[in-house]
Amino acid sequence: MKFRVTLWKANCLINKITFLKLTEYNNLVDLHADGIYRFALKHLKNEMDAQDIVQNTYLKTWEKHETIPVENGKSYLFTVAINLIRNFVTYEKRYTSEEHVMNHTYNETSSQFDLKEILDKALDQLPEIQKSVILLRDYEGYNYDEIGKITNLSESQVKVYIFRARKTLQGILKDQTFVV
Amino acid sequence: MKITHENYEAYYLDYLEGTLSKQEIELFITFIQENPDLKLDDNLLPTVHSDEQITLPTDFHVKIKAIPSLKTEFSELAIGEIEGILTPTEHTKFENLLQENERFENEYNLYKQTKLIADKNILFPAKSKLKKGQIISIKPLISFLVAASVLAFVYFNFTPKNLDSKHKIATLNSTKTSKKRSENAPIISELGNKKSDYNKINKTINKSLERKPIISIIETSSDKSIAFTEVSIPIASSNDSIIQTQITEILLAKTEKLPNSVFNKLERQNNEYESIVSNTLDKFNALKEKFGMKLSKEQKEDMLAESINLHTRISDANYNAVQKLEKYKQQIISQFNLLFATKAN
Repeated sequence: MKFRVTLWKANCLINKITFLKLTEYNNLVDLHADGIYRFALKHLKNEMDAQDIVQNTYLKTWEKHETIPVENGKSYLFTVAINLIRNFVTYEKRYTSEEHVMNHTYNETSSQFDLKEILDKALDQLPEIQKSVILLRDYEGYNYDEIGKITNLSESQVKVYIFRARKTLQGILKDQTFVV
Repeated sequence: MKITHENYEAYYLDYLEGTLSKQEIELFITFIQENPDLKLDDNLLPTVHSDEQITLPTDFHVKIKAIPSLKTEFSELAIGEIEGILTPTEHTKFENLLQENERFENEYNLYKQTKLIADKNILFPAKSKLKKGQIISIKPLISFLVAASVLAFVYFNFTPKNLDSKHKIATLNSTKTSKKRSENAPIISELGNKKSDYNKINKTINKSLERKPIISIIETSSDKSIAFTEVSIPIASSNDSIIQTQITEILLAKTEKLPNSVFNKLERQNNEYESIVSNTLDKFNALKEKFGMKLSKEQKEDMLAESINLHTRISDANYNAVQKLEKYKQQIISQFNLLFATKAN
């Protein structure tokens, strides 16, 4: 194990890989804290929970900052955030009644038609993973390969999820527009 | 079951296979008539077999999914277009489908709206709390303090400063090297090509040579001393600056033998100086003889220029010699004191 670590360090030195230091870490806060917050907020629909996710994301990143290459800083943050959100959602599902979850459906939207709202609520109908990939794609502009690395999926899986997500969203939009 | 754009192809296949009921066939034909844009082979549209009783197969829904419909194809192309991943051929196909089918336009517009846009007004409220301040590592501080303590210990215990005055073997009484104008030195810029001007330079050079910096080594039966002879050199140089050097004697007493390298250096220095001076002096004397002859104005000017040049060389040699002496002096003193201090300890 020690030998492997030494090899890894040697490889980093040879390839001139620089790791996060205080300045780079603080830059990551300036550049991506808002993005991660918006991402978490879309998933959790609760400001306090989203803020907790952001804080824990940066906390975990700081703990490992000496081993994170500078160029991977942003994707590392999103990987941590996604894992935290997954854990949070799993926990919530386990301890929250199904009735409460069902309240999130958008049956009431026909009375307050607004495309953004419909889209927001349509987004909630997507499975977590589809929601994550489409948010990473549209909000952060990542390509399929990058999204794959962040979410631990293959490039083709990412593509399929994005296609399915868009199709579902389009279907919901179509139905809602028709209703209105 | 209602026939829609999503499942009409499955109905069509069942229709071709003749597995639809009469009611379903009627519904299907009505649907086809209402949607003339659907791509179906008219020749294959069968007639209604009213007497046959047909039921839907159990794998009906599986069939629906297995058949790639025109709409599914368009959906894939539309999403590909939004994602910006279509090849040129696919893009042309997409454009054609869009033009050929009016209803696809609405479909495509809805797909375009699935592109999510982040609300940039939503900001994380406590960004400053996430940031980290400068961390001062204690490790280098401890290393620094240890190193400083060791140095301080060595400095106060082992340096010559701490020696008893009786152990001091070399002292520098006073030394001063400066460049300033001597009262008798000529100002070169004011010189003409007259003999008197030439004599002024001649006089200064002779004075300089008389009082050149010399290092002499005095050896007595019990002591050994190095004496830097006191020199005062009034010379004018080409830039009108004067070197006046004052070096007071330094005594290195009660010493053991001086290292040979020190003597060699001093000797070399003296020889170097002597050779520059004698070489220049020879040339100067030659000029002096020539000056007694009848010379044209131009020749006199040349000679004066040459003498100023020689004068400058001596001036520079003197100054360099003094500078080097200063340097050696310091080196010798530190070497002796350190050597003696080590032995004394």
